[in-house]
Amino acid sequence: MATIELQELTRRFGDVVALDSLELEVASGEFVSLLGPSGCGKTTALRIVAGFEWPDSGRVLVAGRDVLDLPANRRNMGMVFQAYSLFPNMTAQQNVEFGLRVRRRPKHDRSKRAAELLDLVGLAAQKDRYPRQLSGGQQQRVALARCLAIEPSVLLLDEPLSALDAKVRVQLREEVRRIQLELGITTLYVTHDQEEALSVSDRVAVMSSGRIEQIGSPAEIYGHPRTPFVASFVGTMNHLEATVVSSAAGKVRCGPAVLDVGLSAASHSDGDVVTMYVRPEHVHVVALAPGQDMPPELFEGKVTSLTFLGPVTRVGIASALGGLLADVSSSMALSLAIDSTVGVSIEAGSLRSLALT
Amino acid sequence: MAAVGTIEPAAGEPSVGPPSVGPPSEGSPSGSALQWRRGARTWLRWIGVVPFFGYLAIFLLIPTGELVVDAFKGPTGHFTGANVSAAVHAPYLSSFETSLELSALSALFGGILGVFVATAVLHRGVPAALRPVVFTFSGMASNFAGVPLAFAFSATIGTGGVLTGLFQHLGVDLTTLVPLTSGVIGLSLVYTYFQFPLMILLVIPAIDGLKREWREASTNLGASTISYWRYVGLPIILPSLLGMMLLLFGSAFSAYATAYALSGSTGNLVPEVIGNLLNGNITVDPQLAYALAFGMIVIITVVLVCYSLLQRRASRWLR
Repeated sequence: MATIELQELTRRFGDVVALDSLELEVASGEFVSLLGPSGCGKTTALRIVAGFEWPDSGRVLVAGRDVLDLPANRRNMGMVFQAYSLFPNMTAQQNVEFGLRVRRRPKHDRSKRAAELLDLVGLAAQKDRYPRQLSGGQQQRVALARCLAIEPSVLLLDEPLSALDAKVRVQLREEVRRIQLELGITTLYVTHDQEEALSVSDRVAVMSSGRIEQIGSPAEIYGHPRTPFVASFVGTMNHLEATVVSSAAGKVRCGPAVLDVGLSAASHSDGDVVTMYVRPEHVHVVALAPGQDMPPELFEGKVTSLTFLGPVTRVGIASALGGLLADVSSSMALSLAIDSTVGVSIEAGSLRSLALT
Repeated sequence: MAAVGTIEPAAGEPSVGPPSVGPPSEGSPSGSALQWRRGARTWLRWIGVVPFFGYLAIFLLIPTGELVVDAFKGPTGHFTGANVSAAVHAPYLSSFETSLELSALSALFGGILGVFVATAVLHRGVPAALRPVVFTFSGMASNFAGVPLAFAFSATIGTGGVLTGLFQHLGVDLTTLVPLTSGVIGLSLVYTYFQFPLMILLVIPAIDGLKREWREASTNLGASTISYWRYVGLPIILPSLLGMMLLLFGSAFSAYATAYALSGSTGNLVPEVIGNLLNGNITVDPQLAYALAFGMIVIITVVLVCYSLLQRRASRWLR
């Protein structure tokens, strides 16, 4: 399988910089997702790799070879599009055979390969159906089988699940990952859905304004965001304004409380105003019995909102530290009510400072 | 059984509630009033299309019916099949052959040229500013027929035409190469002038209906432009193209003024022959004219049925 390297890739549309010296390396057999909001340049990058867009400058290397001088139909890349792109005048089998047909492979070989791939995506029984007779999820499976038929050097997926309903999306993303692992094919996946990216990728590249803000494993991206953008874009994050009281000791003052947050002394000075970040699942809430005194290790808070999310309930809390969101188990949330007083604590080591403000 | 909390009126008592609108009826008055209102609303919705159907009845259905009946009547009003029989035999059969040949040729020329131009204009590489120019020209040129068109061609490639004069200096006789007043080639060239812009206007929605993803998917799978059109693009829009060409065929088949302006009473197209039989240029025989017109109606009906079938097939791929 091939590696992909994007070197100094720049693309402008008029005054808009879609890609700003983008750098990315994808190892052979790796599954990397480009994650970012609309307009961040992720689809432009993918289309440049596929050969449907051209950069103003930079290079695209596949297996060490610059492919920018190759037309799209000679790059041997498989691509699944966001919109359903099956040819409506062909059955599922004919769609899968198409790439081999234009390569003039014998009919017998084409049929055998198409049957194998339709079996791989679980649609062997639907081989004679036309796209209009298939559901959206089935169409995207056929599209995946179709691009795998040509044994592509890399697989490019441009938000292939975004038009599907939530349940099918989850099923299909797992299937895409299963097939990718089974075939060991190098895959570049574009999505704006963080859950999708985090659940299937070996590495996730979070993009903003044509650049990669951070690239790392899903756990790194979620647990250790390195920029405020990544912290805000991936998952939900509490933001707390704080003042450094002792950079040497790694302590900040947040409202009335002095918190030990393990700040890097090298990057902060005493008196600096910093924004601290903490995930809702690291904020703990304790329901208090009527008349119960606030334990000294907890901060006092008042419940302002309760949002049921299934297994967890997101609790909005007004506290002396500022507004906080906390995820608590939905069974525990039953003991909470709007305006009730609760005790709040923040898990040790979970507060992070990302940049000076 | 009355629902909990409601009072059911006793038998014979009027129901309590707002007064009903509409004619009184048996059963529940409020229910029938509702039905009456729904019915009235349905009829009101149809009022907007009454002028269309009125127009259709007065200027198409009634005259067509009358024409069909008259086609089977003799000079004294008795029913006969002689007119229709004469219409499909020599010498009148040749006028059908000429008309069909001209219509087919001009539909083919206009269709191919129209598709070519429409595809070129809609190509991504072509400046978008060109589109309105081509669309405006097409809208205008598709209606440029009759005497003005005949004059334009006569003044260009007719006997005393500008180009004819220029070519004469080069030793080429354009009037022999492209005879405007005789033969179907010259006339089909003239017809193509309004056929191809019409094709551009008709075919653009079909070409626009080809999704960019189909093209990109086929390219991504290794297909060349030719392979894409051969296996994907053309099979998808072919029913539409054939349907549009049938419309061009019908348009040419029923055209009269352009041919008449070019060839006068010597033309041998069905509309021209009908005109001659009604005007008495050669002989007056309105019954035979009706029979020829009946033949045209049959052909146009076949064309419309084929068009309708092709459109259904086209919508299967492009919806």
